[in-house]
Amino acid sequence: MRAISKIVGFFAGSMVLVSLLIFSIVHLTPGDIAAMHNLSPATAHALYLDRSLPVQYLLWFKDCLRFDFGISMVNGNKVSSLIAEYGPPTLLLTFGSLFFSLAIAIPLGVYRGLRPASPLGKFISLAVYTLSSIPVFVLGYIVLAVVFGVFKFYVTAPPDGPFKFWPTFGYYSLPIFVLAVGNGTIGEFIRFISLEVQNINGAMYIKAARARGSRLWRHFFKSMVLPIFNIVVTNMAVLLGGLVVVERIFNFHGLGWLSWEATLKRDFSVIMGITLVMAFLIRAFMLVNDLLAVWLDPRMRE
Amino acid sequence: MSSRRLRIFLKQPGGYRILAGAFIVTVLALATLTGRAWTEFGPEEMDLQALLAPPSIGWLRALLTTPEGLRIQQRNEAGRREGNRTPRATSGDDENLDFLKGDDGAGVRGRSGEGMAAAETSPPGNGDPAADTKARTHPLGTDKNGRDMTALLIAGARNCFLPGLVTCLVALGFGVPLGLWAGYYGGRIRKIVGTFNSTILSMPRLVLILVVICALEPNVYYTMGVLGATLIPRVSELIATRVRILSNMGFIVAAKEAALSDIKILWRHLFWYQNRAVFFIQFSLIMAESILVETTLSYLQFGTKPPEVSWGNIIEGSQMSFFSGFYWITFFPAVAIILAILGFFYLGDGLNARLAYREGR
Repeated sequence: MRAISKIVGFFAGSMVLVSLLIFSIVHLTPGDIAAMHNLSPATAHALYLDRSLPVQYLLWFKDCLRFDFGISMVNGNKVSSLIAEYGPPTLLLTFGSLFFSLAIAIPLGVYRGLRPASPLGKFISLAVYTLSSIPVFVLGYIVLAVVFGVFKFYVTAPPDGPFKFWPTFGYYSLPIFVLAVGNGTIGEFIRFISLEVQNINGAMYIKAARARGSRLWRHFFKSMVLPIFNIVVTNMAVLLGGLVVVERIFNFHGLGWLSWEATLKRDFSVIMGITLVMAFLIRAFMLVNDLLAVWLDPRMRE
Repeated sequence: MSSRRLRIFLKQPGGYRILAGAFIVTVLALATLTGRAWTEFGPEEMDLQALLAPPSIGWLRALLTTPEGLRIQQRNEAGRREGNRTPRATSGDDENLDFLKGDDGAGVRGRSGEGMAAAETSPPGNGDPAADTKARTHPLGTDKNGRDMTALLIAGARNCFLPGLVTCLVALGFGVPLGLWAGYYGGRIRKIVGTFNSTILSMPRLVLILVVICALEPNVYYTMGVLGATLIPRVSELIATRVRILSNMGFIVAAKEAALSDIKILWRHLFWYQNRAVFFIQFSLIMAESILVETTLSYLQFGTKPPEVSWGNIIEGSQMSFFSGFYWITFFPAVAIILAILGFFYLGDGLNARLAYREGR
């Protein structure tokens, strides 16, 4: 119980620090925000720009707790409704590529971990190194060129109307693939999983189980759940960062695209809101990871 | 290095990776230092006679025909010695040759060598020298403004290498002393670094940099400095962990007994003798990461701005050219980006494997 309250307290504290960091980057830098965007006094008042900085931070943070990030400085839309509108496709993209990369990485990683010196294992290592060095946007180009040049089937418009498998799948498959492979997410997963499998494979309890003749996969499974969840959480930030680029290449209207546009137009309230939401997502994953560790591993309970 | 020592070097863990990485990094560094000397065109020069010229192997042909060119040259020289006049000379061709001389510069070989040798007395009347020259001077083709792709690539190499150095300077220049301090003395600074690290880790790095760009609209060096600042905790945690283990070992206790000053213990014994390998490994890995971020930011129009050239920004500027058949404009920068990142990544990773092997891990 004490461990759980400590973990939750850490989560809350780090969210406060993140919000403080974002706020101070935007507001402690020189330049008058209200003058930059020609804001009317009413808008400036709604964004608390006429208060002193500490008061401004406290009011902004209090609003953020109620999922209200103020209004856009460019067109006056509510940031929270923007995020609610652009968020769902992005979530689908993120989790889709997460599952895709796990589906690829777990079999390959386990194979490489069990047989590191075999030809296929060596080939996997080489592929991992090469994949880790391809930036998302270059990979996106290669994929688009291949698909447009050879197959000519990619659906470029977002599907509307009731959910149907084909257009939706066709629209999401390429961004999901690019996000999963680019920036080395799959490579990182394979490398980590194979290392972990190597470690477990050499452990005494596996040797004992092997000697007993019991089923090995259950032991492997039990010891792999926590490390795999761990690496997923660590890579969450990389995945969300890749979103900006992937959504720009595929003209995919989601949070990454929104943050790119907000940066271009210097729309401070939008980019602050998006960054805070992303940080919250990552922190929530870390929280679940920590709680899972406490639940599965009794040694963590003190 | 003798071939036997090279073989031993390659056989140890990470040998091939180090060799391949070091080769690519050397090429990049050479391109950064001596960039302009490699090409006949500067990156901002527009060759209006060759817009969207495809990559050509004219230079290769010129190289291959060198013996023949030499023979013709010798024959011309012999002819000059004999009579000092040739029947083929016309004044119109003379102008043509001036153009050829000015365009080709010093880098002429082979078939143009024939022309240059003959130029002192007479022009060669055969063929179309202008077309040949164009083919030779743009080995990787030109973009839609007629800029030489080779020159653009070399300028881009400089613009990703130097910002990368800024990132390394910030990340290592602050991270290493901080890590040494935190590992040796422990205590509060470790907690501060840990808190900072977990705050940074809970945001996507690219999005955090976007926030900074949104707030400041800085130039690319400033942005890469910010990237370096976000990497400080990673470096310092790594160094601190190693130093914490080392500082309980006998040689540090002995150095303390010998009344060496803390600065000397930290700098010489803990950093230089024990951790300089980690320093170079991190240098290489951070360079790889910063090239990735720099090209990505330039692609998103936030990094190197258009009059300056960056690989990411070449790809951004001619997005659709690939699909209309001008593949070389985006293909070569893409290959350059992948190779550069791969080079630094291989070098760092290979050195890491070598270090782990040496330390018996």
